[in-house]
Amino acid sequence: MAEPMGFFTDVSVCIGCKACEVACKQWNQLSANEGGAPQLSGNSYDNTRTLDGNTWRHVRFVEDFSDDENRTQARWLMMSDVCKHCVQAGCLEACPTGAIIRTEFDTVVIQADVCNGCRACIPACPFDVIEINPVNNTAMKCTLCYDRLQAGMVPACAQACPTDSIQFGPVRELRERADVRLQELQDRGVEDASIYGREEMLGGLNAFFLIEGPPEWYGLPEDPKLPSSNNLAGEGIFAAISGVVLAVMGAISFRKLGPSRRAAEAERMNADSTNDTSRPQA
Amino acid sequence: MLRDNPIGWNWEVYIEMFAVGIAAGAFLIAMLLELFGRGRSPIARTAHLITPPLALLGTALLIYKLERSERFLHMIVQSENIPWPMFKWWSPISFGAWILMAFSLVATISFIDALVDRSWFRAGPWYRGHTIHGSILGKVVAVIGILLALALAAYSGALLSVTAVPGWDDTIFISALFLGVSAATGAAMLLLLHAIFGHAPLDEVDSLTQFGSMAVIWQLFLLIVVAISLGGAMSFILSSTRTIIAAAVAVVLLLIALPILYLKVLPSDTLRLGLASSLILVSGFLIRYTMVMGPQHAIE
Repeated sequence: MAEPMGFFTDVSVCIGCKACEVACKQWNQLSANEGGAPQLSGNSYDNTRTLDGNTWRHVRFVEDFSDDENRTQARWLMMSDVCKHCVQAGCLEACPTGAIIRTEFDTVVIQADVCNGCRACIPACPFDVIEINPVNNTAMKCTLCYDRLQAGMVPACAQACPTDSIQFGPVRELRERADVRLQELQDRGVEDASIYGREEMLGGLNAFFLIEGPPEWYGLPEDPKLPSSNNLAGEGIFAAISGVVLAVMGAISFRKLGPSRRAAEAERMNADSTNDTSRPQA
Repeated sequence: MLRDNPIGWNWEVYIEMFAVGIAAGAFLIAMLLELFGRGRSPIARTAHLITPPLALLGTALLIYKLERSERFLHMIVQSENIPWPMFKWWSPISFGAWILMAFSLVATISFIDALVDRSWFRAGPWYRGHTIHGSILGKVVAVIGILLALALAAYSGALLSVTAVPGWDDTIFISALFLGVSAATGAAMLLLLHAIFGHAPLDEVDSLTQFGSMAVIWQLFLLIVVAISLGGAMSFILSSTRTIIAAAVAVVLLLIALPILYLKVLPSDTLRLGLASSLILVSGFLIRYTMVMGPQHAIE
């Protein structure tokens, strides 16, 4: 396997130009939402709203104002969100068809020609990245430009980014760069800067972020969990207990219908010369 | 984290869970009857006759629900390595597809066996008086059938719980609850059919009534367990007026059905069994609806 590749997205230099969104749509031939008709969300300049099957890069806008009347402290944060290409990927685990694969670059890709649109990957993703693409009716998300990577090219979004907010490269190198950048920011007094997606989070996110402020501002879960490690064992154990309880209830209810009971009843009824065999006697 | 993208598991999914749950519950009862000596009983035979159509309905709904239904076989065989099987035991939907297939196979054998028992069909050494159920082989089928029925009834709970969706992933008791619902609705369906057609001996009906009552009590207990385990996350399940009403009605119906069924508060057996079983069936449907749709309404 080639060295794991990924994205390091630095919120501190993003200017919200959305060149990444456009480059992604253009390269991957993703259609405009609602036929290109303008749809204003009312949420800052974020009219894209969310990542989905037709939008694989999404620039989030965070307006951070202080609580005082004159809003003396204000900042405008932008983050280009994308599939995290988790090392422990919930979507890959849940996919029942083998459509979701891990590539030689350690990225996670959905094969559109295999996916049958069962939607299991959609609730399995803790980052709400995946949706059904309305054109081909299969689940779709960022491929980290798998086709470009195979040709030795840089993903379209990273190439288009004018500020190097989106950096592409070997994950190991990117993590070193991120640590240096984080130190720089903290030295300048940006105390709420942090790295989101280190190794302890789902084995590490191959697309990770330098953010300012809490993850919730960017729609990121604070402590994402792999669904199977979260609940699978517990569900199995308590389902087994419930099954045993029901089987015991069955044994209690139906054992009186067993052959020995019936034989005894038949014998007694013969002795009594009665024809009523419909209800067992007490 | 609040989710934006719809999950898209709607009416097809909760109706499938309801239908397949009844099939699993009814088949479980038939297999328990087999193990305890009444493999050829009228109630077991009725269960054998209703199980495959319900499983077929569930399978059809699942395939219909796929965005690319023509690719449903990708769940079973590796599309790039035919005919190697595609099986991931840790993926509830993959596990469920295989369990549903295996269950349908065993249920179909029992279905044909029930036809043979009524002389509607025969094939070689398989004729009336020489059926699988009621013989030693029937006990083997019963053990396999019980395991498959329990797995089938449980998998749909794991399908919801093993996700990252608030409400579903906040409890580990959905499979246990769905097992209780399956057993109760399976018993209710058999009692309802008896109330309509009156085909079973009374001692069997009494036993089935007792099992159904206990399953309802177990179901009520598990509803409490699920509610406690969810805690504040219960708001994701009761996220809309529809799910609040559905959940409340479901519990009330169970509380009404239980005394009707077990304490025999109505004079006529037909009325008593028909009414109580109908209430349990409606309640089971509403519980499925609430659990499936609650967290999705929260996203909307």
